[in-house]
Amino acid sequence: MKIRKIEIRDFGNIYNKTVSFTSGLNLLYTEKEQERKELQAFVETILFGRTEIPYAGILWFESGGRKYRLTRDLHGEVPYSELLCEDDGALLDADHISESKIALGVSEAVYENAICISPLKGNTGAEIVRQVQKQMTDFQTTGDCSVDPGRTVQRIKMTRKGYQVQVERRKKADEKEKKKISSQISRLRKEIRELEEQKSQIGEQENAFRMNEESNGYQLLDERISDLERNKRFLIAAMCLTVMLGIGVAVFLGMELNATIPAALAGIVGVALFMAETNFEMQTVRELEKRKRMRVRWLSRQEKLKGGRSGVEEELLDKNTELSNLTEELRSMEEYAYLPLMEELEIDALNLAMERIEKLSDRIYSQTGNQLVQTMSEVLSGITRGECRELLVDDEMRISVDVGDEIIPIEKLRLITVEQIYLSLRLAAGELLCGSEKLPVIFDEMFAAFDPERLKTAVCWLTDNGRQVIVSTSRKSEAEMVQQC
Amino acid sequence: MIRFIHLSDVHLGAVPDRGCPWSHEREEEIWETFRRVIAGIRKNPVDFLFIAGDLFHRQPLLRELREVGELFASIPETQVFLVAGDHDYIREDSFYRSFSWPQNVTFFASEEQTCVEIPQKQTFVYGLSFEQPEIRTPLYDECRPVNKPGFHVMLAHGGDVSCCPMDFTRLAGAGFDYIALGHSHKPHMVSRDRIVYAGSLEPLDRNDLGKHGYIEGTYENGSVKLRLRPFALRSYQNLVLTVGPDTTQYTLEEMLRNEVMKRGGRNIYRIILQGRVSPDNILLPERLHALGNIVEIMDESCPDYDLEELYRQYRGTLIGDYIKSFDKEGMTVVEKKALYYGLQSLLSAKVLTGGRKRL
Repeated sequence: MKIRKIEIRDFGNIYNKTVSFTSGLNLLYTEKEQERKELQAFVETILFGRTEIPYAGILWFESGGRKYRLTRDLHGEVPYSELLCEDDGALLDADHISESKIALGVSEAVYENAICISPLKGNTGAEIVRQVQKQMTDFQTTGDCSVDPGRTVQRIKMTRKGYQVQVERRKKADEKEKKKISSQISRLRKEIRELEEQKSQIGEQENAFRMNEESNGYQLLDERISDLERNKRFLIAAMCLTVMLGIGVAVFLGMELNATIPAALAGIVGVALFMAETNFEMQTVRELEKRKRMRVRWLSRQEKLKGGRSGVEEELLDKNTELSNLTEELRSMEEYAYLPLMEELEIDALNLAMERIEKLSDRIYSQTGNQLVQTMSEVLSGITRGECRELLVDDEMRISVDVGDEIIPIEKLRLITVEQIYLSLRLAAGELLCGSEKLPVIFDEMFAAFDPERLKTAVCWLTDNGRQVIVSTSRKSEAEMVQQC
Repeated sequence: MIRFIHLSDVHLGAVPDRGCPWSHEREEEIWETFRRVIAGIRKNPVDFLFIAGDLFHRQPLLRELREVGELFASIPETQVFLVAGDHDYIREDSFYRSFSWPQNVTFFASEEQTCVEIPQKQTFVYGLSFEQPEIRTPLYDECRPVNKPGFHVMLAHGGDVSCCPMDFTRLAGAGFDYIALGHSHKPHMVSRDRIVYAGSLEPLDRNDLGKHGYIEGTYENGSVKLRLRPFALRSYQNLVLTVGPDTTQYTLEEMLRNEVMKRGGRNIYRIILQGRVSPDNILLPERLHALGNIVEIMDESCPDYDLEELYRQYRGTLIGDYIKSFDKEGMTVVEKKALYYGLQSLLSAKVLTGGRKRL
């Protein structure tokens, strides 16, 4: 591809200007920096059909052995674009020119990487070395010197970290809730155990009232009370009988037999017997009262135990229900925990993005990695006229150069050689990105650090290799050097 | 005229949005709203209160039943009819089985359909309760009202595959004057003024959007008239915030603040971010959680990139390849998000070479 001519009707501050280019070395020199930049920008803008600013102009170029004319005018309400093949007069699609074979599939990124080459910006030599090293690594893994896969992945990881923190926080909150329920469950279990103990104590107390399986305390008391009542009744009967017998025997002996003394003795015996029986009867009554009191006490205790037992049973059932409800709640919380959080969705997306970038980057590296080094090596050797024989890159992407008698790491090379390595990187990128047809190369004040000899060597090598070279500069010294070539 | 209230899915004892700051307040509010319903009936008694299942969120505790029993006892002029649903089904050891309800309460205590007649109101109420959490057989489809004149009401719970499926067409033709349904938390009519889901009294989770309350109805001369009475203390709302290229974190927060102020600070919101944001403006949606009762944030926004244009610009490089690798029909949400995350990171990590700036 070669740029033949540009005609700017208006673009920025440029009006009605025509610039022609040869297929070899061209110098685009103007002291006005702004004008020069605009001329360069015009080529890119018209080629890619950018629409941010209104402009009008024509670009003549050659591609694949055919000549084309690209006209664009963005001043009208409907932008006008026309791509004409001057060889056969065919009108082609001017809107997607960068995708077509005409422009060799050059995208803006490729244009930026391979066509327009600016010097590296750096205050110190070490800084420049670092940049060369980095751009080479970046190009090998991204196909674009300006894309930094390391920073990209780092950035994704940072975003992911943010979401991971949120997920952690959510999970901690859930965990806290679960713990709360678990501790409620433990408390309930403890209470249930205590209630069961209470229930068994009540059972034991109830058992304590029972002497054997057939009879219980209440029955024994009842039997005893019946015995005592029977005894009481018997004693009362005996007392009555004693009184009657005593009186009867005394009256009979005294009145019928006139035996006063026996009668008196019989009376005394009767009285003594009566008193003894009375004593027994009083004891029996006391015992009976005592047993009756015991029975009342027993009954009330029995009632109390019964009440207590049913209260405990009710409470136990309530607690067990609460326990099963909480267990159910905990189970449903655990089930719920399996559902993905919104943040986890974001993490999945970030992981996918990272995986995809790494995979694509590996693919680019496998496609361009070694080839880049090889092409760079060839270019470097060409533009230094064999001074640098070979460019070497180790596993850690450290660059060194074989200068014939020794291999010098990039850090120890002269700054001009580093610049040459950088130039070879950009030129090699162009070779790799655009295949067989050579792309033009626009040097944007690239040779400020070059001496005339080196500049000449580089430019001649490029033109000899069939590449159109446009040296764009506002520096007089650089322009003079180019003119000498 | 017969006046009645139909409510369902009160879910007493539920703790909505566990882990959120308002969760326990909501637990109390569910009870509070139920008490307010009863207080309203006490002030302005209705003839019947129909509760179509899931009065409790889980197995009722005895103390809870006592409290509810006392509340029902405080409205003696109203006859209360109650069935147990799939959440508070009558387990073998359930207190439902032994609890003594006040005189004005009829609890349908078995899975067999029974009918209760209230002669003074010429009303027949039919109902059955769940005895297991899952019923897959249709228990209501064969139900028919008794052949007597009057107001025939059926209380039914369920309506989906695992929860007593129903053939609503058959039910509509069964001859009931009103079928009070429970289970679905969204109030809606299955058949106009005849088969109605009252919805949950209070919304219980982020999916329970819209109005919640109870159904107030009248029956007169053979026709039923109904209206939904919104009664919930709060509502769950989806709040869509449309962001644009000019939206910054500050404007986004202001937008949310204003919306929350307009719609009510007590309500609970699910934020949905939509639109296209400027790739240069970093938005932190998680910071929105602090600006109200925000239960969830769904970020559906994406950076304002012209993918076609970007592909054209970066074809042949990693960025171009990356865009192309996602170029397919029917991308999943994760893939779509991944595309934008990766692209944003690749572009923002781009070193501008030679002072040149891309579009």
